[in-house]
Amino acid sequence: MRKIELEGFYVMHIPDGYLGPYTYGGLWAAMAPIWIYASRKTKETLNVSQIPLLALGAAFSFVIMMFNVPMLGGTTGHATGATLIAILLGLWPAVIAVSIALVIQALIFGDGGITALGANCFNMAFAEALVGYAVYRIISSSKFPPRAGRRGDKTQDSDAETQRSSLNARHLIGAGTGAYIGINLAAFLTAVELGIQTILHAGADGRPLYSPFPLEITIPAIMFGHIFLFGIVEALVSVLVLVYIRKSHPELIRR
Amino acid sequence: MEIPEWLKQKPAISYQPSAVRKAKERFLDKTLRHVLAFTEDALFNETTSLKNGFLQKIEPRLKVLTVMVFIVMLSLQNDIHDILIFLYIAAASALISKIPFYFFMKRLLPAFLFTFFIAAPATLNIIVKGEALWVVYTLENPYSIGWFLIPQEIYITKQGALSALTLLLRVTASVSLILLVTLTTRPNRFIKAVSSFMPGTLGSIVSISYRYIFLLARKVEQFIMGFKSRSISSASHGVAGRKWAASRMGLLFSISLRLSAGLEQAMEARGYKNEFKIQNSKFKVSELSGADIIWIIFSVIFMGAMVWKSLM
Repeated sequence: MRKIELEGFYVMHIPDGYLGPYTYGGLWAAMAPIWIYASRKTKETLNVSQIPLLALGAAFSFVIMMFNVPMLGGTTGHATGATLIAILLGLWPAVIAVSIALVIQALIFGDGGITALGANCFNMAFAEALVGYAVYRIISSSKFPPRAGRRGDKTQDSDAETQRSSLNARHLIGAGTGAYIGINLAAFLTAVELGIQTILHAGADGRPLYSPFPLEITIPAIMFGHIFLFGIVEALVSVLVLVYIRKSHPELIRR
Repeated sequence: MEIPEWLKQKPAISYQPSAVRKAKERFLDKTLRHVLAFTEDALFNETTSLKNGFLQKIEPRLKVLTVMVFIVMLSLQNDIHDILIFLYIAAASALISKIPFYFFMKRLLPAFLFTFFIAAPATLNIIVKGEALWVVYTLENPYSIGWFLIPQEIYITKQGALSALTLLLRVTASVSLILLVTLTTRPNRFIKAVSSFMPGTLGSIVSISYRYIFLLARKVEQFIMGFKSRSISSASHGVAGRKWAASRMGLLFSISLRLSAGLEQAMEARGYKNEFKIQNSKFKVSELSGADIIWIIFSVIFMGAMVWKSLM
């Protein structure tokens, strides 16, 4: 029997045509100051030149969305990696990196729309990364100095063993919980943005002009898959990647 | 020469028939399919962008800007006839740009099918209430699942069908328009054009990032091919598969950092001082080609007509 293929990748990327002008215009307007602020904070927080790091961070973000992760019952799922990238690079660099990955996906490969780009970036690059990272910080409750391990960093010469121990069980639980909550929040926002179209835009005959599904359908339809599959994929990927980095490349861990 | 111990060990999970193994290794195939589809798309964009068609002759920045405006205008259209005009324009542009019909449809099909399956339930009175067009099924009694009501008679409504068709056509037209730009512009020129509309640093990050995506995608392909060639047991699925996928992502991150450090050194060696400018020639009206002028005239007339129609 052929098993179900679940494409989480498409569930989260809103294409053009689903959102009306009030919603996509509002979310573009919301993202503009976030991008400006993220650019400024990135310059402040990264003490090495940020362009190559952010460019490779965006490329990494783009490529990990291609990875399928095996789940129970033969299903597979994708991870967006927003929380993971926020943990690895820092929150504001992650906002820039994931946004750029989404821009490239939308413009060059047609995944996600041009008008919906503000919404997609708001959901995945900003809200998911922010909440996922905040949960991670709260649970791990450690102070993080600038990222270690790159040329020019003061902490470059730190002992690898100390760095390894800096990523303890609390950090892993924090990363998994943060990633799970982050992606579910992004999914919830996507569901709300799609669901409110029936309220905001209806024709004279009452027909929906954009996404035709009301909130009572979009929320359970989108959240079900994220609560029971994609959220778990996201959490697993974040934890396992951190475990691998702790074991094999402890010098890359931001403490 | 002595055989090493690890080679003598039997895998923890025994060998399984290829059909079972195939199903269990699907995550590898799916990832590989994504990577290959990505590189194939990029390669195909390059091929069609070299054809001697109409859109290929237009200045990329002009093309990107006008198509963006078209997409925004399309998003404001709610009448099926108006949306169809955008689809006709996309089809005609594809034709005069010598884009093979089969490949254009192949690229368009996923978005079309995805929206088709999403929009199809909206035709029913369960989702969109309205005038009955065709009764699909009659239940013995109406049902309610939580707050969700399923009426006794399930039928396609006029409003629902119109709503679903509007959504389907709008999405298809939007994807067609963006496809036209990517298929008729050489990727490096397209990236330059897109970057020129972004603030300095962001534009440069997009430009560098695009180039490195291919390198990282190639790495993923190598990871998978290496793993597939080494594994004969079903241990590649489940916990082991998840661990493997996560370890490759971690490795990819470390490769990304190594590459970024190398790139930074290379930029510094070439006199980089926290600034990066994309070499984009200035847009000069005097350098516009005949195709550019025709495209501008057409775009202005078309946009003007659409605005005038919406004001009427």
